[in-house]
Amino acid sequence: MKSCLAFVFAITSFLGVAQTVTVASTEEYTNQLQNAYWTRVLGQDENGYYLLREYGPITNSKIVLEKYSPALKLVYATDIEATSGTFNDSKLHRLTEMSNGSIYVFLEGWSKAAAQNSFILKRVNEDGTLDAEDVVLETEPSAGQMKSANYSISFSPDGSKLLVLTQKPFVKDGPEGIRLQVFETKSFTSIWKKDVALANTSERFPRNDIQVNNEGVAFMFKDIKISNKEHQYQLLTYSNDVEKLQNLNFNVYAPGKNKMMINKAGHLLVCGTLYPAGGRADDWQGILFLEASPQGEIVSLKTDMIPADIQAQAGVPVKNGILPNFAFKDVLPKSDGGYILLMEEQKEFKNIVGQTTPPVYEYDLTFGNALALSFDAKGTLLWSTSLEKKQTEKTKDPKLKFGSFAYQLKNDKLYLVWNFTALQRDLVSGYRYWMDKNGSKINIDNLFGKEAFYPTLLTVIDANGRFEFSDRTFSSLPLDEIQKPNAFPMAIDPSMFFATDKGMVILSHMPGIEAKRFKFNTIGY
Amino acid sequence: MDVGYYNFTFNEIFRNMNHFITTLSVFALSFTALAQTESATATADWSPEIYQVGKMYPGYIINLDGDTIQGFIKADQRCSIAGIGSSNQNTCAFYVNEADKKPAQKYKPADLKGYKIADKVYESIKYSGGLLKAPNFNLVVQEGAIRMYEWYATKENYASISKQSGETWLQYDARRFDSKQVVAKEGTDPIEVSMLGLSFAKKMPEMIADHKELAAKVANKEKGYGFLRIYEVIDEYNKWKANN
Repeated sequence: MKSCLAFVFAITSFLGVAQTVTVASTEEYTNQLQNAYWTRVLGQDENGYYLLREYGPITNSKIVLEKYSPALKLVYATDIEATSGTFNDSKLHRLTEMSNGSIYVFLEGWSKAAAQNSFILKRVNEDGTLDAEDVVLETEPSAGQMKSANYSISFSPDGSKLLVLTQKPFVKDGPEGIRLQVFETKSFTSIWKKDVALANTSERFPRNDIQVNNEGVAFMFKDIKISNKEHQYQLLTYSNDVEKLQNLNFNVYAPGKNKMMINKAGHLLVCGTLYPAGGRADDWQGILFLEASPQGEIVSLKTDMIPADIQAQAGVPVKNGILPNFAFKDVLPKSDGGYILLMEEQKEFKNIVGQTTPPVYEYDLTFGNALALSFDAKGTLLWSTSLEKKQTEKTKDPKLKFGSFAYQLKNDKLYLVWNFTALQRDLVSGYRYWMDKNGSKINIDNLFGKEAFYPTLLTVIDANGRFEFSDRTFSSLPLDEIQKPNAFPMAIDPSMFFATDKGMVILSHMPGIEAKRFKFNTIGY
Repeated sequence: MDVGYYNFTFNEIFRNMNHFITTLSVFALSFTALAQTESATATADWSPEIYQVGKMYPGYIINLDGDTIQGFIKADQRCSIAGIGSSNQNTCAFYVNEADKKPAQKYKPADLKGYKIADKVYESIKYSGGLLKAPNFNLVVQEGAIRMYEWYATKENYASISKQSGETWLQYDARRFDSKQVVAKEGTDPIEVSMLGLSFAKKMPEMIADHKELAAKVANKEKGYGFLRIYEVIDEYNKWKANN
């Protein structure tokens, strides 16, 4: 009787899981801009999904903002001018950002006549056109375009505040000068601003990363280069009534790739990787966790070496506690205030193909195992899980790839969507296959269809770090309907996805530099 | 006097000649510009990565009752070679399953309203590339109230033309195939775009008569509403029609 109940329970559990994942795709669209690859997911709101395509040489780059409706049909494709005006009165596009359902284009304008350089904001209207009105956020005296101030921005999590950091032009042997100014985003009126002469000497390429919380408190993480091996790190906190500088000690490490974010309490969190000071940034050796209050006090600073069990999980040769070629992917906040750090082994080699001038390269890309590390709100490691995979591909453009994975943390479950690229081909019949966990050949052409350029898998890791589909090959659910019935060969692009309340919307496209057809897939769970 | 007469005649001839040459040049330029616009408007992509003869593609047929039946269609030549044999323009081999060896049915243009193979939509209209008004499957290249179609025929030396190194598929196809653009409004007979050009200010207003303002602009030969702007005119009409 017990075994019967267990069987019924197992069946219903399986059906329950099977029924929760759905896949639906749009029709295959003709790519009207075949030379313009998608480069960024800008964001989404109730009116649709927004993507950016950026292409062309840096001297004459083109930017296209695309809006797709909730039904994933193209609403508009707007050209955003990368440069405009005349040489002596020009505007250069700096970035396009979306915050709280609004899209903004940030420009830098230099006027020779006025001898000044300005940081300008333009709103994108609902129909995709640029608003005629310029909002000048900052203006700095500037005798020459190459000796102008640089600007960077940060929106608060609720989108109500905009922080603009003005990095004043380099002054030899002089102090580094910055200005921080916070605007409220309804009318872009200034809430506060501070001109600061920092204690360090001016650098030509200062490294300052900023964040602002919902109350308008600005945080700046500063990296001062003394020598290649020796850097000084600081956290500066500013608001109307706070001015605080804290020196940060990362022991023998240097901070690698990381993510700065604001938590629910309005504190700054910096989570990411540490590498040996003076070493390679891809040599992952430690985990950084920094929390600071809006008063500028360091609440927590942890610089832990990667534990031995995680080193073993990573599946790469470890030397001196270093995991080589491990790249930071993202940090995802959990509902308990903790977070999940996503890492992945990534390698890239390039070789010259042919004898043309300029040389044409072929890139050999490897996306190896993925690691998910779960931490509590205090930065204590709870669990880690490794997704074993080896994705390899050759491409003429390293931006055009099907490797790596798309991800979403939903209800504290981690969803990873990825392509299985290590397919083998049957020598007699020519069909593509993989070996399942029982050692049987699985015919991919039958299971996924011949037009699945790569088969796609969904891996789910629960709140305790366990695989939900542990009984399946690769501990993953095959999304065998995702390219069915395609007319054209396609695979998902793991770098172009939207995480929504219902699951994930992810782009599929044809392989090659000119991806002639594409479509969107909605994976519901 | 005689000299004067001959001078006058010579000048007149010269002036007329100039006028004739100018007219001819404008006419030639107009058609070159239109030809360029036509090729820019043609959206069908026949490169091997998009379309391979013999391959089974997902698609559908629309029967005469207007029912859409999903299935698979085997890719045929875009047009018959020298007008002989089957092609997408005269046959649609419909399969229920991709793995089926034999088609469930082979349809002729009189049997269907249209069909779709991969991303190519064909509709049965009374156009066969010549004077004969027999129904044929024509490739839809622009949808709307006024629909635009493309009709293909092989060039005389089709079989002897080979693809040159560095040549794009579009360039290669331009040497192998003649294509004609055809427009049709539902309920009316299709007409070749080049035929419209002969009396554009007369024929086009008839086609778009329900959009009085646009029809008047074309009839009055307003700037920007001439034959060279036919695609823009059709586009404007289709947009208007979609909202009215």
